[in-house]
Amino acid sequence: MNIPDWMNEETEYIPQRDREGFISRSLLSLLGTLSRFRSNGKVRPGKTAAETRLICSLLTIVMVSLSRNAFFSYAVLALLLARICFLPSDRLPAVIKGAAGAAAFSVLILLPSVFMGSPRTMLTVSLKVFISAGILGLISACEPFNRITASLRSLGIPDLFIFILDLTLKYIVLLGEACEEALTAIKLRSVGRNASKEKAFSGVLGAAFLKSKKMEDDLTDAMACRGFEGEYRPPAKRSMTGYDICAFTFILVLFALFLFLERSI
Amino acid sequence: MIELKDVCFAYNGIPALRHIDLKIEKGETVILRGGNGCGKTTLIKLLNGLIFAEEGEYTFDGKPVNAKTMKDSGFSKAFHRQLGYVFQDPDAMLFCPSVEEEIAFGPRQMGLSEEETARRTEDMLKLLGIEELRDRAPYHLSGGEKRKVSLACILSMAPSALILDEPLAGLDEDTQNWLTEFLKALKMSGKTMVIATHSSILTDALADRIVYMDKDHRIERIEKVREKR
Amino acid sequence: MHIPENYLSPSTCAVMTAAMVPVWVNAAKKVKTEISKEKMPLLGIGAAFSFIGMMFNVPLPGGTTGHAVGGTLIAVLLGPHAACLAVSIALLIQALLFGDGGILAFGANCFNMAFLLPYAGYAVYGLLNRKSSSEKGRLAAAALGSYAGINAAALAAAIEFGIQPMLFHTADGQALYCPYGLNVSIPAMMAGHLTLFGLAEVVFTTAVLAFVTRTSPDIVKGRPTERSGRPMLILLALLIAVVPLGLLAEGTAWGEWGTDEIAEVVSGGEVLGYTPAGMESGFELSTIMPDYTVAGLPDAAGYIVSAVIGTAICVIAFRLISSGMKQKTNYN
Repeated sequence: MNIPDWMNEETEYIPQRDREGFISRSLLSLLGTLSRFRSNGKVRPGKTAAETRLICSLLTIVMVSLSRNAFFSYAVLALLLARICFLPSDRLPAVIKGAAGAAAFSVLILLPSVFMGSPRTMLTVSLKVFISAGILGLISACEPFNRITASLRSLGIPDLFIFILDLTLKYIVLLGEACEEALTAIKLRSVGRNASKEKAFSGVLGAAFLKSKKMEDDLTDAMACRGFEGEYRPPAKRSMTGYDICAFTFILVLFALFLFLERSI
Repeated sequence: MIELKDVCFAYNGIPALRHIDLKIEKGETVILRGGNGCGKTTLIKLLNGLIFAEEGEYTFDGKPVNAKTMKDSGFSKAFHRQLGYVFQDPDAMLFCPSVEEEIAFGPRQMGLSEEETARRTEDMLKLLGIEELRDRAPYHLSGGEKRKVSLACILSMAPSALILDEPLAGLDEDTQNWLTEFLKALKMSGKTMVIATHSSILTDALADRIVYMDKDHRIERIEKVREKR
Repeated sequence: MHIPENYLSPSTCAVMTAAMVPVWVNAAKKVKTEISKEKMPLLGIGAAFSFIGMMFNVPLPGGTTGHAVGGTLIAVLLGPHAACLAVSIALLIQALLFGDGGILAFGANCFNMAFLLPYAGYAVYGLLNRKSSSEKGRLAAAALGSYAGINAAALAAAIEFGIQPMLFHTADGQALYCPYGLNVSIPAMMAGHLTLFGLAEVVFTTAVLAFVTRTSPDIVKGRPTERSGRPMLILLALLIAVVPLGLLAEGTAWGEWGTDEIAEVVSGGEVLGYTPAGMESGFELSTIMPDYTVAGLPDAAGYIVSAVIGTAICVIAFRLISSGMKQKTNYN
């Protein structure tokens, strides 16, 4: 084998300037999404059923939204913050950032109401947004995603839809990891000036698309080999435990408080 | 050429590399061995400047490689050109529409003239025996062909050092033999190489030294196989 | 001891805030190096204890009330710089969310309760603790330190109040801000703090310190783990449950009268008779739960909800800071 001479020339290479921050930025945002999935993957399911958590959370959000009494919102806020205090350190920042981000956004949108003379609106709505986003953040911090998707069944969502949702979550992670590797490869090979960055980018997306097509074909074959003929049979639901009953009792108490406060308006 | 002094790295507080001391001379071929989870991949990422040591120093060609120095895009680009990395999974590396463009990507980036780029591309296609693949799309090729293309597109930048992660994985016996011979030729021409592999064929053919990593994320021992010529 | 809005002239407030800036910067720098990622959540718990302590109002016969601060307690457990930051955060939450203590007066309040109190208290504690090495000795040193600290803070507050009528008054002698001079403010503030309120601070400090020494000795030794904070959180929860007791003490603390009450205040046998101009047209921030209560509901409910919210914010804030810190890995 004849190794060409230019491969062994020791040249002093001075790279040209170029704007390729977009590779690092894309990598970072991709990694952020992936790390959220990965950290949720470490979550162990809690003692209450995911269905119970989901239903109770949604009921609480509805009550907070409908309540016209400020105290009810403050009381729920107190409970929410108290619960967040006890979250493990790797999940607490995500929940707070999500809730605070949503609240900040609504403050921004509602800022004109302050100048129009009713600052209370902005505060009330932002508070309720914070509470709602916080409650939803708690669900994703305390339940693994696959339990959450399974619990959607209790809301009446068809089983096949949930199956596809689960597959989507799986492929987000797998394809995300593939894109992560590809973007890293581009970053390592971006040693100078790239006149057509879009080509590299579209190459990554194209490769991801083809990979997903291949995965889909493999999946179809695997399911056929395991006896799938078109009808999806979901696993049996589990029965209610003491923890579920506690949760529902708590919601009833909250509802009673809600009614009491609404009446006194 | 590559020097690691007491390098330590942890993911989120969990140690992944402990007190790594390693010195690789120019033209040397070092084989990296170790079970799953021993830190090989982390070490490779660190050598490539993708992650940075929390404690200790990493020097490449006399220059320190850390978060601060790599912030300078001029330095990091020159570094990435000098140190080529062939991924374990070629699919991750290949993103251009045709093999020819894939190989030409590096030289074009470097600002080389069109004739020089074309010359390098032709040389690579010939060297790796993939001339008839020049217009094909990389992701439609077979495993062995992809591996050859991934080598070509890194070598076209003329790096002085190479890191290869399991280069023989997924190849049939003929292609494995071919690749071993090819890497031997590269070694003879003076390239510094770090190869993570379990293959004894490759080790016997190429290794100057073998670095064994243990489950504790340290270097267990370094075996000297032959005197550097 | 919280100085409300419009009791100090804007210039006084500016001076006190300017004095606090280097203190805060220094404390932050020291905390960054001294407090590890694992210890940081304890600062949040410390801030929460301070917040709660300040909600338990102790009555003094004669009509005024006072409260413990707990700054020396935090200083003993985590160092004076940590105490400065923790108490500042508690005061900030009280001022912004609950209207307890003025926003403009925030610098002055921090100077008294987050600077003088913990540093003076810690100095006294350090001096005395060097002599003895027993647990009892440490508690005694902390008791005396906290007593010294809270009285130092009270004296400073009294002085800040007292110089107002001297420096800021209208042409006909009416005070613009705090209407009582040094000859009234000092005896009034010190009478309470040298006696009952100082005692409250001592009791609070020693009781919590004894509890922590018994249940989480690793904190006292300076090597806390992630579970160290648990017993303290339980104690916090218990304190929150009984926080409505703090409402039993009727009467407003000296120097904390509202704009509507100040004209009726009797001092030295005389009714004040006027509302200082600076207070009538002064700055007023509308907060979410002024005075920790909600209109139309029993005060106790509002008090408990406020206690939970304030405590939780303290704990969460420092846990967020902790999560952003680099972890020190042991590679051996």
